[in-house]
Amino acid sequence: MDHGEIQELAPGYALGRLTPEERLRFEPHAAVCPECAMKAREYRMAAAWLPLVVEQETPPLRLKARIMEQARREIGLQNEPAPQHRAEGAPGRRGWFPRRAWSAGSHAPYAVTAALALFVVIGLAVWDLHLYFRTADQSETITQLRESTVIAVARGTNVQPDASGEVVWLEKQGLTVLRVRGLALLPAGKTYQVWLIKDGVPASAGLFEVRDPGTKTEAVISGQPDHGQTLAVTIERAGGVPLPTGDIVLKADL
Amino acid sequence: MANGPSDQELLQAVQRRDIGAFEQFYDHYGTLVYSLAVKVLEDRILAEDVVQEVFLNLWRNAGKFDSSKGAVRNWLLACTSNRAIDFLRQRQGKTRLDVALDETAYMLTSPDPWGEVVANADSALLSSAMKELPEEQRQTLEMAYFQGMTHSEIADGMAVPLGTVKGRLRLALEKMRVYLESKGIGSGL
Repeated sequence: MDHGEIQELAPGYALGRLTPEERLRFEPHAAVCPECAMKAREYRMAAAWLPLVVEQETPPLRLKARIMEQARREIGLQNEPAPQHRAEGAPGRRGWFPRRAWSAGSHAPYAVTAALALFVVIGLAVWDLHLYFRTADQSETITQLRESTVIAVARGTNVQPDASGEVVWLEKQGLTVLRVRGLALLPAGKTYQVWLIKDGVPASAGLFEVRDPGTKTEAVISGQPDHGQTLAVTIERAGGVPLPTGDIVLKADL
Repeated sequence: MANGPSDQELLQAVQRRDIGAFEQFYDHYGTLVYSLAVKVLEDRILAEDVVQEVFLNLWRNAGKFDSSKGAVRNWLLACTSNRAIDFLRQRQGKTRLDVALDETAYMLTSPDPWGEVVANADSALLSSAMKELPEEQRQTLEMAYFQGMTHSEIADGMAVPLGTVKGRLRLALEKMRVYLESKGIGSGL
């Protein structure tokens, strides 16, 4: 192979697309040929933008959870709640939901949302038959801990400051659950309702009851939790409501 | 990322097994890495596997990374591209291109071209530049970079001589280099 033929390999080398044989020809030559080495660097510079051309797509939340869980596991931090870290430059969270948005007489802006929420409520009425909640069963919890990934940590608000929990992805079951502890027992006719809020718009994600504040309660989250959402728990009337009316007692930023 | 720790600082923290720093790396580059993997593989589940492998490789081998050879993000993207192509070629029953995940030093550049690219160009502009390439050059570049094809495979696929493929790749990258320079992104070499 003459110099010209080897130099023709420079673009492929810059892209990482030479066969092993081609690479064996190019690399030793480029190590002693400044011109070919320069060419490879120039082509690499040009190729560096190629990933930017690709249409950007946000990866699913569970992927980050899985990666972080594995990393924690490797340094002996298995099953610890994920610390809250924000990417530098990420916009700070505003209030999670404008308080005014659910004061009396201000539901007009959510007319469309209310209609959608009605469908959600109807769906929830059916789903409610299948919703399950349970206090922590040790063996089942341990099994699930092994196959679960913590997506976000939930913290009680000043309404119930002792409450805490995790949003967990159960890989085997393909479910997202909210695992809580420290929430107070509610009087008859009341229930805890889970919301997924994106861009200030809440969508009901399930109902659950607490039977024993001293043990864990789990609730399956309906819908698809995603980056940028806030998970919130409010106290509502039994059977749930189309839009939140009560104070938030527990919150997690997804 | 004008404020906050630099990639170099984050990397040093990752080397100290700082999970928060590692999470920041993911937050910074997860979308870029995932998008590239999806583009190459056209399979989101496989793309997730690639992303996981790439980031965990960073987590495990941060101490081996030589920042004098280039930027971490270049390394992440090079790993992603190579690993995704590995999967793709394996799925197609083709031989690997023999680029180990942790031996991508040759892909690294100094100085870092990426910062300039990001600072001086945007995705839409770069996409336009790509579209302005002659069809055969654009196609050749896409087949090489996004489909992981070798010169011979591209030649067979396009039914053109090997030399033509190499020439088209060279011209495509030359045109992109000229374009980047016209935007104030010099080679700096």
